[in-house]
Amino acid sequence: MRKVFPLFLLLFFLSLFLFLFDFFGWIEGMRGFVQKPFLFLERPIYSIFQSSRSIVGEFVDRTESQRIIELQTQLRQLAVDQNQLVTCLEENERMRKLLGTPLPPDWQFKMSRVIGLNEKLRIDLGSKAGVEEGMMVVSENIYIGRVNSIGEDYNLVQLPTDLNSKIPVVVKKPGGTGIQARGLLVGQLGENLLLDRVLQDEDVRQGDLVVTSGEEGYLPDLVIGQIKEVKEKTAEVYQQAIVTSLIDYSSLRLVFVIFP
Amino acid sequence: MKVYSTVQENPPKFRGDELNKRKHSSFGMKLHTLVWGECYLILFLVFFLALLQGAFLKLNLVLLLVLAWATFRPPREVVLVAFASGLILDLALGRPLGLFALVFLLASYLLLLYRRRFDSLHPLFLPLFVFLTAYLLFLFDQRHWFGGSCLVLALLALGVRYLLVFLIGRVDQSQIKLR
Repeated sequence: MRKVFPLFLLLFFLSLFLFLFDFFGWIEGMRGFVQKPFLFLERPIYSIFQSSRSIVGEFVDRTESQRIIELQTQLRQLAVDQNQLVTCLEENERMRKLLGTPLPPDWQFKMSRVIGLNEKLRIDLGSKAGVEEGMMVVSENIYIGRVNSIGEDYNLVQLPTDLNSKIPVVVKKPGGTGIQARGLLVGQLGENLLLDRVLQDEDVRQGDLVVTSGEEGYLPDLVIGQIKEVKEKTAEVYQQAIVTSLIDYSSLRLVFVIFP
Repeated sequence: MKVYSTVQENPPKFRGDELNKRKHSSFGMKLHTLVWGECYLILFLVFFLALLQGAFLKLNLVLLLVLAWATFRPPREVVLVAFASGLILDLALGRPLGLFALVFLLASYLLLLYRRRFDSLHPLFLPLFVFLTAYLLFLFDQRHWFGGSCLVLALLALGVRYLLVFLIGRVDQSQIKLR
């Protein structure tokens, strides 16, 4: 063990230097070069995994799973359409009131492929394509996540299901106008999300849509999920609700990065 | 394949070992064996698992493999494999370079220290180490106390431990026959 201690120390400090150099972005070029074969190999592995999963799913219960997928797609589309409609109505009303005030510039989208999904989603657009930390990633106008860390040719997207994710949101009634409640959407273990910090007197019901509020750097009016269950605890200051995401993150192949 | 267990720190010299020594007598070969020895197999496996982890796998199987390797291999090899595996995993997951290398180095060095005092093939030794390391990593990464995946990993480590005992037993038996 005494013989191996100098080697351990050498490798320890080498790792530490590498970590610090990478943290400050001094070895980004070299890292991008070394990482290319990994990205090249991970993409087909992920697509093989996705197709094998869908094949197994079909094999288990073809008709039922097909129907569920169709219904989920329809539901998703309906939720998105409803939200867009409500947003349009609100915008229309606001525009009538505030004629002459400048509107926010149009968002630009860049398509990106999914390379892998671990705790975070990896997509193939990086600093070379102009992606910056904090940018939003969507699919079918549904919020997927926020760019968390960037490499040259890839970036890691923090999903709403991430335990560190806290998104300021508003709750809207499907088809209705105005905001029902405000809260904080927190990532949970598993596929569900927790809507927290909703005041007791605010009306939150099952089936309501959860949408980004536009605070803390998040773009407004991006649908995240739908309320599945409201936890009723009258003694608490805030009420909580379980939210299901409108999209299965593991089925994503293509996403869009928003360049606001 | 040389096997070093806690019971038998200095393996008996066989004729095969001497033949190997003669075969690898040149300086380049000596250096090569000194540094990488028999690490190719494990690094190939690590590379494959790291790719799977980068693509879809949520369990940290590379950690399990590195720590399982550390229970019965020579210390120099353990430290080198831990460092290289950490770097490979950093690249595959897109994490800051050196992060997993540091974690693996520290974990495997601690395991080496404890290996001298305790039986590294005890049913609880590897699962406990794997669970604690995975849990600390989980706490650091997710900042959440419940790590179900760490428990799964510890159970897998228990299975790996039985596999190791089975394999090492077979190697020992073949050495006895040679003698």
